[in-house]
Amino acid sequence: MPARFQPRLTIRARLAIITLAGLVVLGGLGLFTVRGAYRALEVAYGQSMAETAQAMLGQIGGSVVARLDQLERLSDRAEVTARMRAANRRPLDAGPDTVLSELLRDAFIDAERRRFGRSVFAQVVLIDRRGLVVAATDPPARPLLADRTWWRGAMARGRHVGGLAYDPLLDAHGLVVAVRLDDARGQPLGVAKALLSAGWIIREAAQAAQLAGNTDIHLVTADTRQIFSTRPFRFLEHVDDRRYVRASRAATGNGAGGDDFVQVTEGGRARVYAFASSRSAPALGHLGWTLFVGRDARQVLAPAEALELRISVAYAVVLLAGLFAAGLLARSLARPVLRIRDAASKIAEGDLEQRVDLKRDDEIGDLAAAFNLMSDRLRDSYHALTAEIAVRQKAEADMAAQAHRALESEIELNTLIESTDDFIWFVDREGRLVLWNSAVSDYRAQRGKGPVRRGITAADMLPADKAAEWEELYRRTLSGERPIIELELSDGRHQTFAFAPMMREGEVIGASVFSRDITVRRAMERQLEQLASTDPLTGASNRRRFMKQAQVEWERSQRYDSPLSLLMIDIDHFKSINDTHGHAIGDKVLKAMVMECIARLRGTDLLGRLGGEEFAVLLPQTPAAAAAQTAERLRQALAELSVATDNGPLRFTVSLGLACRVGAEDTVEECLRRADAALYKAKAGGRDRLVVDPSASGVALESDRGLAS
Amino acid sequence: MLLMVPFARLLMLLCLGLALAGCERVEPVRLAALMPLGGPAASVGQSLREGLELAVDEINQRGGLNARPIELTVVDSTAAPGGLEAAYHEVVATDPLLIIAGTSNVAVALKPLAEADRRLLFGLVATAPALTENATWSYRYWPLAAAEVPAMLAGLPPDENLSLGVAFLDDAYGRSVAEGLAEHVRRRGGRGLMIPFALTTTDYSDLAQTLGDTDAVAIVAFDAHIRAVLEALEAANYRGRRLASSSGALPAMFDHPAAEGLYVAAPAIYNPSFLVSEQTRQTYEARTGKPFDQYAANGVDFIRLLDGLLVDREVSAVSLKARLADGFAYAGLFGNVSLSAGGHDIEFPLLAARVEGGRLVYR
Repeated sequence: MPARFQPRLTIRARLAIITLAGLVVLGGLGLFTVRGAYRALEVAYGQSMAETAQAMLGQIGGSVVARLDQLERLSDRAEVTARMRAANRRPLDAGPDTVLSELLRDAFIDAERRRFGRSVFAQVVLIDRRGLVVAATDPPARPLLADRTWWRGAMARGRHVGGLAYDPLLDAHGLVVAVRLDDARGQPLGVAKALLSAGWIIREAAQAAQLAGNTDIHLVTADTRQIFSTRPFRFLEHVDDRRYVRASRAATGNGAGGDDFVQVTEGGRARVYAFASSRSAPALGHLGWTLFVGRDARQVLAPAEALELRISVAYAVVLLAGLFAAGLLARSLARPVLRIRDAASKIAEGDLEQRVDLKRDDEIGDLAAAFNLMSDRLRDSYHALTAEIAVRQKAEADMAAQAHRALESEIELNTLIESTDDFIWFVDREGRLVLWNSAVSDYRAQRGKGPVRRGITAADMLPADKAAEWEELYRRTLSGERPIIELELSDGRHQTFAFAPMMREGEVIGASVFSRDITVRRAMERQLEQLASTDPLTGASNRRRFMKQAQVEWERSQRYDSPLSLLMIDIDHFKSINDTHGHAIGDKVLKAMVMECIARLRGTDLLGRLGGEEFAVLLPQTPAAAAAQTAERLRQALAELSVATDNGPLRFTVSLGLACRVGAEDTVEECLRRADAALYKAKAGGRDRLVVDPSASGVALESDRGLAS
Repeated sequence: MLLMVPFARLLMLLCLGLALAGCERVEPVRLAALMPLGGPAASVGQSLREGLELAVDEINQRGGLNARPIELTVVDSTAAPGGLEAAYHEVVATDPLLIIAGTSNVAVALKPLAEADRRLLFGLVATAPALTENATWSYRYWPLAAAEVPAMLAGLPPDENLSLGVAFLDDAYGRSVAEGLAEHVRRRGGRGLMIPFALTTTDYSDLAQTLGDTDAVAIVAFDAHIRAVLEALEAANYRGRRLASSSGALPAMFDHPAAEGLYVAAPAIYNPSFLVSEQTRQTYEARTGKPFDQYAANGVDFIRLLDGLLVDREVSAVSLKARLADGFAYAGLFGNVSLSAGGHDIEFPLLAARVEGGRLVYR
């Protein structure tokens, strides 16, 4: 399913939309206002013009009333009333009163024409109370007019205003009016009937029309015939097809008699027609006439049009100003935002030095400042991060190198540790076996020990006491010590165990143990020691060892105050033996002597060759007497000893000197000196004898061919 | 700015559409008028033209005749190259709805042409009876001579044996009015003294002397003649009542010293109480700076009459002629104007008035 389309609205677009929406709303309000103004003006005009129409109808009606009054004033004229009174007594077939007719003609026709060149009354007729024509400006054909509506109306109500009528004899249209003429006592004399001329009606309507100013006026009868119009018209022409008539009928429900206004289009122009009925007009109320007052809608609505124009101009100004302001606002908002966006884009592309230079004291300025601060921190963080990354990368590289090296080392180490017979293993901080070489595995396997597994501890591999020791060693190692121990294994091998802490980044992560078989070395050491401490010819301790061991025994003897004796033994005439028999025989003599001594001495006794043919014997825990006896036995044994030579067995003798430790202050050297002194005496005394130093008490100083002192 | 671009385009299109709508060409209603704008009758022709133009502008400002602008072409009949007939043909070439002829001379001269071409011809400020005699397409909008008589006679004293001197321009119009006046005096038992004079007469001293013994003098002529006769009468110390035809009701006469007390047959336009005319007078005088007279009123009222006749109807000569054939009454600048059914003379009433104190007072 494709993603929903999300149109992107820029700040400018949003502002433009908001501005346009606002302007549309404003325009709508303006339009509503203008429309309201139009309607208000229409209503005001319509009402005003309807009132004007009413006023005009009232004026026309007033004129009619005035003419009725004029007719009625006939009864004020004595000659009229007298003749009327006489006429009422005349025979029915009497002809018209010519004098009265002339009076009527002069009063109502000629006078008007003389004065104004026009006529008001098309006809005036006097009828007696019987309905008979008495006199007339133009005598009608029928003398008896008592059946006429106007006669009956006038006789009954005093005045009658009939509708418009056409008099064929007069060939004239007019408004039929009639008034009852009464005498001074109020007694009816008859009726004066007149036909107010169409011309007069038009003039009166025109006069009334001046009230409305420059407008169209149409006066229409109840049956939609035109009586008057400010436009060219034909008197009593039917106008029911006129737009304003149809509209008015529609507005009033197709019934005459209503005040209102309508708007129609005439001649391509909108026109507002107010109309009023004559119901409230004097004398005309029952006739149902309607007066229309029309004006060009633009004139009526000119104020609204002016308002519309002003509003339009204002709207245009507001529109332009609004768009301009919106543009400025958009510019003031969008541009800095775009600058910030562009700066952000450049920062995203790597240019961390991008900053937005916006010195504004508003939210945009705050945003720019925050952006710059963020950019600074980003840059700093980036640099720091870059540096850290570099460091880390270097470290990683180093670590990789280290790892590589470590790997190489490990490989090398593995190779190394596997290539060696030394025991090598590594334990972690918990003393668990992490790594070991095959020497370890082989050793254990050879000894029938359990297999070596990763994670096993010393306790798993060794007896408890041993395990404790090892654990202590591990502990010490993990604490940073580097203990080295030497052990003899069960197979007799001597192993050194060198413990070393394993460090990683300055932290002890475990311990390594390197164990080397030093059995050979020890043997060699012993051998060396032996060589370093024994006489290579005879195997007796050499002087160094003898003196060292003698010192040890001397100190023990002093510590425990136990007797200790020293013998000095020297082969008699050894030089002559070498000279006689050769050094080889000499060496054999020395060897034989030493072997004989070793055989005769105790294991605790120490025989040492001090030089040449001079030997010393240390007899710890041996008092003088016993020492003397030992010495004597040695002398005798050696005297009996023979060495095979080419010349037969060779016998030799020895001289002995015996001294004993005397007190705490005595020393080995001093004792040896005494023993050597005793030996000298023995030599001096004839050799093959023992001389005991006088410090050795309770001992015969000299033997037969033995002790001497 | 993305959305601003289409909005700007829309705005431009809207303005263009409005402009185009405003530029939409509507067929005008063409009217042609020929009248003397130079020569002795120049003032008549000028006033008539100004009246026509005032009404045309007035109607056009309201949207025109049935939403069509009126296009009025005025040709100086005195300066038309090739003569009046050529001017006629020139304006006819534009197919006007009708032709307006100002003054009797122009109207009578153009009548045969218009009748032959079946073109509606309206004579304004045209008194010549011949204009509408046996006419089919020719009409007049100006009072007939007969209308002058009652209004002028209203200025006569009610005496029965009145001697009335009638100084009249010796043309059909003058003769007709003069005869009507004389007949009336005769019927009242009086005596009429008829003294014609030519259009070019300038010295009226003899005429004044001749009329010196009459009870009243009626002058039927153009305003210039009327003034000259009045001056001559004054010079002759004439003390009788003076009457004048409708030309004596021109505003130029009101301030003339010799016109003081003159009884004239005046159109209703000079009545300040006649509001319709008063409003038009104010508009005209503000527009032209000249006094409003009956010639201008004739021009104004004719166009308004035309507008009233054709509103909401077909604008054509046939429609107009049919409307005219029915006759009408019309409450115009001159009061109740009427055309009888089948008639060709649109008449308006002349009222009895008198020049008093530099103004016209209606009786």
